[in-house]
Amino acid sequence: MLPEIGQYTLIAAGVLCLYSMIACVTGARLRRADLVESGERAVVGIIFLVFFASGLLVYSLVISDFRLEYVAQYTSTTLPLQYKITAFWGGQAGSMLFWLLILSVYTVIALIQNQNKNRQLMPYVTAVLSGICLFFIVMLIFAADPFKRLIPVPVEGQGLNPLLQNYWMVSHPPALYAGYVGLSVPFAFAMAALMTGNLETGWIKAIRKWTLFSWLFLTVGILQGSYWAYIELGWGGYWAWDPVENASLMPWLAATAFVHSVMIQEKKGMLKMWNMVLVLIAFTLSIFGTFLTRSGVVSSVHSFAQSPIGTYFVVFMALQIGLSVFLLLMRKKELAPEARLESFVSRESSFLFNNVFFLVICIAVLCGTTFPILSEWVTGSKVTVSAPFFNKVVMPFAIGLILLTGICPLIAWRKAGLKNLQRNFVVPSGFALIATIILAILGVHHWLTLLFFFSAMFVLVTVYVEFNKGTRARMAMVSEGAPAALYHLVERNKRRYGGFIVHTGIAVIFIGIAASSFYQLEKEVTVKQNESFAIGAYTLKYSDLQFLQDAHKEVWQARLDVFKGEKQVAVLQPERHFYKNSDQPTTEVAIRPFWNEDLYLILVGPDQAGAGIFKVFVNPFIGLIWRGGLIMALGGLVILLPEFKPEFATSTASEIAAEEPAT
Amino acid sequence: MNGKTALIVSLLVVVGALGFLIYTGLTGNMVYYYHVDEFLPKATALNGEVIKINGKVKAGSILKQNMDYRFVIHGAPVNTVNVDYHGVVPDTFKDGSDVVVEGIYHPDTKRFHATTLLAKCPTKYEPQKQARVE
Repeated sequence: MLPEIGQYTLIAAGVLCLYSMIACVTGARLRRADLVESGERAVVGIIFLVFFASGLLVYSLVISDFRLEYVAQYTSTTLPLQYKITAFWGGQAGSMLFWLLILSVYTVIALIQNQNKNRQLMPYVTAVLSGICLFFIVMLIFAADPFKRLIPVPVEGQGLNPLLQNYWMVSHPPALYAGYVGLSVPFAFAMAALMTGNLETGWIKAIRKWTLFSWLFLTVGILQGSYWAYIELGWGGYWAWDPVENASLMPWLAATAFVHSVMIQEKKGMLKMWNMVLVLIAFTLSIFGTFLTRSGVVSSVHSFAQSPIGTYFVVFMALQIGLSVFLLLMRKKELAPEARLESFVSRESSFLFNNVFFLVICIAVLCGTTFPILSEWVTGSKVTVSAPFFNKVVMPFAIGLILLTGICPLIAWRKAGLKNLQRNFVVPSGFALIATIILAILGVHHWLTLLFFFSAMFVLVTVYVEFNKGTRARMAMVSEGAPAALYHLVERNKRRYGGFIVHTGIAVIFIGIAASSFYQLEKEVTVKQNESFAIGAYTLKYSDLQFLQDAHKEVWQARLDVFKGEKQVAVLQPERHFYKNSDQPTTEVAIRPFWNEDLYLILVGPDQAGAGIFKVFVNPFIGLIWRGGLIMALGGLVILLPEFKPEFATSTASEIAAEEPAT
Repeated sequence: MNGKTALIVSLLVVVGALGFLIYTGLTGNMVYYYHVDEFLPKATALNGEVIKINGKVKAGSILKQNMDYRFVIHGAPVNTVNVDYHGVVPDTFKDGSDVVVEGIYHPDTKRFHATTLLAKCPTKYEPQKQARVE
């Protein structure tokens, strides 16, 4: 009975979506407020039904109800509870339901936020979001049914791959999905604006927040994924330009471009058409990313024809792109800019180039990712490109972007004179150059590393100059101490200084990438017990290999004492696990982070003679990648948090103000 | 040169650079991707070109000595390729797993020397479903 309840719930939700679309659009056309209200209220019904269906699936997963094929495929009775729950988004059908769940939550939030705002747009926003919900429901009913019955009912499920049984399975996919799905809301607003012709910038603020919100989750999701790959997968790397990774990077790039160019629209009334295009591209890429990840189109030669959800996605994307382009062309005249670019050397044009670079990188990644599919269409044989292609094409533009990140805040609006340039550029570029020369004297001679380092330092110095200037100005004006002045500076202009914090994070990440890519040391060794080998500044002595056992698995555990000169600095214990109810072994890497580098050790196994076989890496400054990521997330939060709860923020601000005299 | 012309010229430069980089990037890094079944008819005509082959690891075929691996991948049961690989294998590499090897085929010894070995991440690509289709 239970599987059928799930299916009927989804069908009912689909009917409500259809009703909501029709009621909202006809209501808005006929100016019938009651119809619009009824259409918007239907969303409450949708979220209730979707929650119910999700609850049913999670319940079935938790109680291991193997009548459902999905439950049998992704869990087993012995699986720990948290992984039974994460199986909700672990497989294809479940992850589509999860997408739908997040989308319906966002739809309700968007409606609540706009109860008394953007009233002209909201019927259409609701209709578009319900339309996207409907697409996922149709797919869930006809192509990827999480409630599909399995006959005969098995005694035990297939379980979850031990490789995926770790914390990251809990937090990485939901973060990415939260980001992907969030891009639907700006899309819905953009479509609504185009449909109604209500293209004033008021609604732009609403979508800016949503895009930033998605951007933050995508950033966190991508970085978590890279960290997961680094610490768990055991190949020493964090990014492989795998199609699934690229799928998350592309919407991130488009969203990042948008959060920059939207400032130009708000300040100058320029780039309206462009911003609209970016919003549409970002959403399309989020759908495309879900499609790439979930349909298997890039993993197998034949999967395009076989995978039923692939066809659904292709049809949906074709409809959605067709409608977007049609509406854009219809409103072309109304999207004309209010001002023209006055000078090539101006902050406006630096924003424009920032956007072009983001989009160019996005196109390059898209090209490389879809090249196997395209080449198969055109020539009949599948041709792939891998990491070297992406590195080669993306790197020049990435360096250009970093330089722009530093240049942009220094350059004047409208038209920058030579004086402006001289005054603002000499100090940061001078400092960055000196720092780079010092690095070169210290022995770093790889020119790309130096170029990366120079660009990143340039950004860091400009950010420092900005913070310093602002803080000093406040200290002089309101006679505050430095920390208070700094705090208020950021608090009064969260967007500007939050943005600078994000830029700091990006610069730090770039230093990490440059150092770890070009100065990584790597070695494969076979050593007998009590013998040593050296890598970089370290000597590793292989002292022991133990075979341990517990109820679930056998463990090989090696012990290596790490010396730096005469001094012992660490003990590394890399392991390999062999699970009893799975033929999937897992490699447990041993990592010892030092302040400047990670020592990264993989146990391959004992050889026939009992000697240990290891693969060892020294990754200089690789930790900066995730530290920079944390700084980026912090910056994103600074920009975002208070804007989401304006009442809360003002009340706390006044409370602080009220408390201040007492202290 | 006024602002607009300068802008258009530099945008053209950026787009040109993108085109150039993609073109040279492709010509330098293109690797043909075959399924085992597609590869075999072409095997002798490849002349030491770097290619990728996708197939399933034949059960029981993995021979391991330290970090040297010898194994057989197959498509249809009769279509097999012998593969040599040196290095660390991914955890997902085992009997029956779906792998992509990149390297060079030597027609004289009839062995494929792989320099990279990828085994597909099981959740992401739903191998169970594919297995059922075949």
